[in-house]
Amino acid sequence: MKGCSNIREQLSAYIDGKLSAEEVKLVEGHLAECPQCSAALSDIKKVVAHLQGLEQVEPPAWFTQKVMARVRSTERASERKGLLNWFFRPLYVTAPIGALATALLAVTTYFIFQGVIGDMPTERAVRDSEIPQQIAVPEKAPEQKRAPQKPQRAAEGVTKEETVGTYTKAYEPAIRAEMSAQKSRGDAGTGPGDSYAPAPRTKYHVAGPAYAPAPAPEMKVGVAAAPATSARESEYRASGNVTKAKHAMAPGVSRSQSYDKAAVMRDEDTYATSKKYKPMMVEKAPVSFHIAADDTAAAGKVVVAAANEYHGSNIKTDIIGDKTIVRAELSVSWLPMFFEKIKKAGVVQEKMAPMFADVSSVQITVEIIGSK
Amino acid sequence: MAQAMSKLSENAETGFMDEDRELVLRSQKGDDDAFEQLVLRHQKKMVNIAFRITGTYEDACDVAQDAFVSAYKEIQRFECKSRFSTWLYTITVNLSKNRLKQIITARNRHEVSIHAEEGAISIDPPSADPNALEMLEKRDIKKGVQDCIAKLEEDFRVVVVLRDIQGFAYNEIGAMLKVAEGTVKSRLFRAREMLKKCLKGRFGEL
Repeated sequence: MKGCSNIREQLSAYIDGKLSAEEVKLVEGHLAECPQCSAALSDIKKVVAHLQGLEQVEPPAWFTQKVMARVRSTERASERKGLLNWFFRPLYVTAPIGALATALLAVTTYFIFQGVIGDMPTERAVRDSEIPQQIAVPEKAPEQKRAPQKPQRAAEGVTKEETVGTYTKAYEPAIRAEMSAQKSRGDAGTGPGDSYAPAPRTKYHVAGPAYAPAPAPEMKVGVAAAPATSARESEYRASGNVTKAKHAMAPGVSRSQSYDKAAVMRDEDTYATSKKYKPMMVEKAPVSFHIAADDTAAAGKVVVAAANEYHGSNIKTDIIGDKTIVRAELSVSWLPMFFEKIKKAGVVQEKMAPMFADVSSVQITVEIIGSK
Repeated sequence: MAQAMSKLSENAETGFMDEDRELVLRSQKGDDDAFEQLVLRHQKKMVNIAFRITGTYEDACDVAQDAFVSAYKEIQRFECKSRFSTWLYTITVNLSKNRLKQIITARNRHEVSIHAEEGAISIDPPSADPNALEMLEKRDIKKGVQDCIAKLEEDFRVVVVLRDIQGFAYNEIGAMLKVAEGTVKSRLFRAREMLKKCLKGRFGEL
């Protein structure tokens, strides 16, 4: 029958009472005349009856407890959000966290830097820490305990700043300038440190226009000081030349006193001991080399030959145990060539450049050690 | 207080009284006992909805639990603009549909077997012929009805479950499924027609 499909589509809604009064009238009019559609209506009602006849299952006995157990161990979204909202409430930006983080960072940085700066050897500390050692070692045996520590510290400080250059003419002006500064200090002739300006570099500038403030010689001292000092100590003791060594080191005393009283305090006893040595004008700047050679005697001959070649005077050779020590006075101008020459004797391991000296000459000490 | 009054007026405007409202408000303030009361009140209906949609009791229990936990987490967002039960059952329906998809996927995977010796993939469809056991159960109407429900596609299954088994109104179903009432009506018509065919095919008569 025409229109049955339209009516049947309405039957589902019809049994649910979801049709309008007009639609109901239309459907019921059609059903009265159409047994097929009436049968279809009956079928739908049976289907719905079957569905409604399905039994309801019961939740398990543990269901509520299990749900509540899970619920109690669950963080509510609202609580989570609430906390975040509270934290970011003012501007809805990261201002509170940012402020907190910045403050923490600042405090942490402050403490870290305090620690680092406290431990960090400054240039001044490097100079000052090495110099009392040079005095301490020959004079007081107990000071030898400290000796390995501080020079090492000085050496570290130097290494961080600059590497040690080779001994060339390049730093000759610096040597001379240092000599000039030394001379002016010596000329002042007063107690230790009194003649020093607080900043030595200022003094260097005053010393003369020829001065180029190259730190290289000082750096070399820093590197060489530790081993050289102890080596010289035994050397001087052995050769009975202790007084000269003390004199050579004397200017260091005044430096330490002038620069850093704290450094002096650390080595108070050292300083007290060394105080009795009056700073003297040094006529010959000490320059020392260490050479490692297979044949120390042969190397010694090379060094002596080099000293002769470059017009050295007072050339002396001492053999102390397995070491050969050659001393000579040499003009500064010949020093680079001399240095090049003694390289032939063996491996030049360490050297000490002149810091405090007279104008033209250096006191060379070449210590030749067996390389085996 | 003003918020509560506003919610009351909203309820008055929408014309329904939510018997869960007091418990919901208490639960929103962190009262777990109130939430437990809500669980006790709705757990059976939720398990049944899930059971008829997923087809298995174990899955139904899991889904209902998950639905309660989700509701607990999100209860602050419930604004009392609709019945709490509608909101709760919507969660259940959605989770049931998700579980159903997983079940169907797993079943399809299981039905695909690889015959390595032949080097080909073949699909073994479930037998269309009722075996002896099924013949014996032919008169088990309830099982037959459930089987026929299980053969419905998801959208049709859900409306049948919600309307004919759980008795929800068209507008409630529309709200849960986020579809218009007309859509509910047409889906329900088609679902019932399919069930009729299925049941007739299974039992010969209704």
